[in-house]
Amino acid sequence: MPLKIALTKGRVERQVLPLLEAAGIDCSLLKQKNRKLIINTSDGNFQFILAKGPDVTTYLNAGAVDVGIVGSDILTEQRNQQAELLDLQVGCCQFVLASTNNFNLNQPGRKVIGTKYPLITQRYFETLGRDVEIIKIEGSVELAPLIGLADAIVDITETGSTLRENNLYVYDYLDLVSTRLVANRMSLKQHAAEIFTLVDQLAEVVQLTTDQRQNQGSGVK
Amino acid sequence: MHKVNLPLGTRDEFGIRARRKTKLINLIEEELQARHYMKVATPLLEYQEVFADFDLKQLRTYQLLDHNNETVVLRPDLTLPIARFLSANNLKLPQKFYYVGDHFKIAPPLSGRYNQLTQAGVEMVGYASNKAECECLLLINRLSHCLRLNKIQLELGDARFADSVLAAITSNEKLKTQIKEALYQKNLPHYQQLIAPFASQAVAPFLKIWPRLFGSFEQVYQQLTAVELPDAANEIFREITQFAVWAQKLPDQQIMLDLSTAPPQAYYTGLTFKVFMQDIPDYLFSGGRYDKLLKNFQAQLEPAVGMGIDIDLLVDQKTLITTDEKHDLLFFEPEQLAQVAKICQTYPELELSLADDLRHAQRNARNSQVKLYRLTAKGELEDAT
Repeated sequence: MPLKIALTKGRVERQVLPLLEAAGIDCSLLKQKNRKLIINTSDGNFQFILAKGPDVTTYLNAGAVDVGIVGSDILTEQRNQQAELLDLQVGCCQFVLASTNNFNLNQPGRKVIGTKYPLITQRYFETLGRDVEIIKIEGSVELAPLIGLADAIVDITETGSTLRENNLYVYDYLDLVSTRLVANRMSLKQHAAEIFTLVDQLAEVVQLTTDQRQNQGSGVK
Repeated sequence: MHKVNLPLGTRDEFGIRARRKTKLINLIEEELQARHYMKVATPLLEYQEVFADFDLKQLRTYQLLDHNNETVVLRPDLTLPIARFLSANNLKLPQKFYYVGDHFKIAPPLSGRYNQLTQAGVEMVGYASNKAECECLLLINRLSHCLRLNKIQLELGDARFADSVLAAITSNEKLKTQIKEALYQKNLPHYQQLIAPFASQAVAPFLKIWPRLFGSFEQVYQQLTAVELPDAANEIFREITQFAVWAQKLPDQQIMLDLSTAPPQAYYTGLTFKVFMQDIPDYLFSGGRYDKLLKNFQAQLEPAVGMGIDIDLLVDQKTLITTDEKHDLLFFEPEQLAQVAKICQTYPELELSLADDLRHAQRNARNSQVKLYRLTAKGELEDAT
């Protein structure tokens, strides 16, 4: 039986593929997947299931897959209960509180906050001791303060360019976000050796990549 | 027209699954009665405070108000009602009880999980000896055999283990809780950050491998012999090992250890045991020792050991044999009632055809691919297919 891995398709998939390859997993069929959603590796050891991020956790929770590769934003928002085994240190970005230039959090009154992440937003404002009204938005969260739907937004940003292009300013930095490898708790019991071998191989690659990045940053060739 | 859809997270049970479930419950009840367990059936509704110490693990309860505006809940657990029952009824202890019933927990909507599930279980109350744990291990082995569960994996642990390690390395209660949470949630990136300050201590090699300390008895034992454990933790591990050695002598099961997982509930105080099988998404049996079970109900504590059996998960296993649902039919006229009664005694497998006339009865039999019989004047069976 291959180890079933739910991989978040799109950006996470593109960033994780090189790590999987460097860890010795043959990803050639995954690269030539076309519109296929289930891809087995040529050695039959792994089966990749391509899914949207929130669905990765649904599959994991139901035990339909053994391992999931998904952003920590989704894990936090969905109150992940499965085993978070490795920070893959790709897909790095950060939650921010952003708004137009006239926003003032300390002005009296209950603020309205637009976000895709109501739980994370609620927790953040709880730490500030502030009561806010949260509006759940599914896409283009940046629109909310621009069209008067919300006073500010809590969203993820990688470089800040979308915010800048829409004349939005960062008012606070919240949690960092990165891609994580998560295992279903029962699968971890049933396939411990296979899952930990994968984790160890990937951890080695992540460490190597981090070291290389730091060396490049410090000018070491 | 009334609504035909069910409330979220519920289902109708019928046909082969319902029959399998009944058969399974009967089999478990017969076994437990033969082993002298007393049946206890508690109501579906209890006051909310009965479950004050129950960890719902992000799920919620169904709540209602009674005539005094007090909150009552559909029970989310079946052990705590037994504790309430024991305190209220002044039963002579020690005593062994069993229960079968439904419990209710509201799962996140649209997650594919059911909110009403059936559980059987045993509670041995008033037994301080480790023979109560032995009885549970024997029962698991016996029931697994009866239910034809092949290659079960019996996982042993101890609710005190993590606290005994952490008490030896820090007095910072907040840090202890954080390490335990990260360990239990297997949030390894966070766990590694939390144990970093202990890198120079003798316990560091153990802390490093702790999240991976689960697996076969031999494997975990070997890993632990290579590292240093605090004395109290070592003593607990010795106790677990003793049970593992005993349980290894029972047939058809593999003994596993897990020293890195949370006990099923906060009220557990000693050995924990769980049973799983390859490719089944949850534990089939789960239990352990909980000597403080009655603390919220009465001043005098009673030692107790118990376990729950996930009936719904078992029903979905293919190991249970169910008899063929098809039965041959008997066509009769109302004036033949006395003869029908006799024939049904002789051939209990026959199903009465309730069709108005023979032609309809024959058509029903053909559609169901079974034979149709009718009664002769002498009251004998005659093929009428």
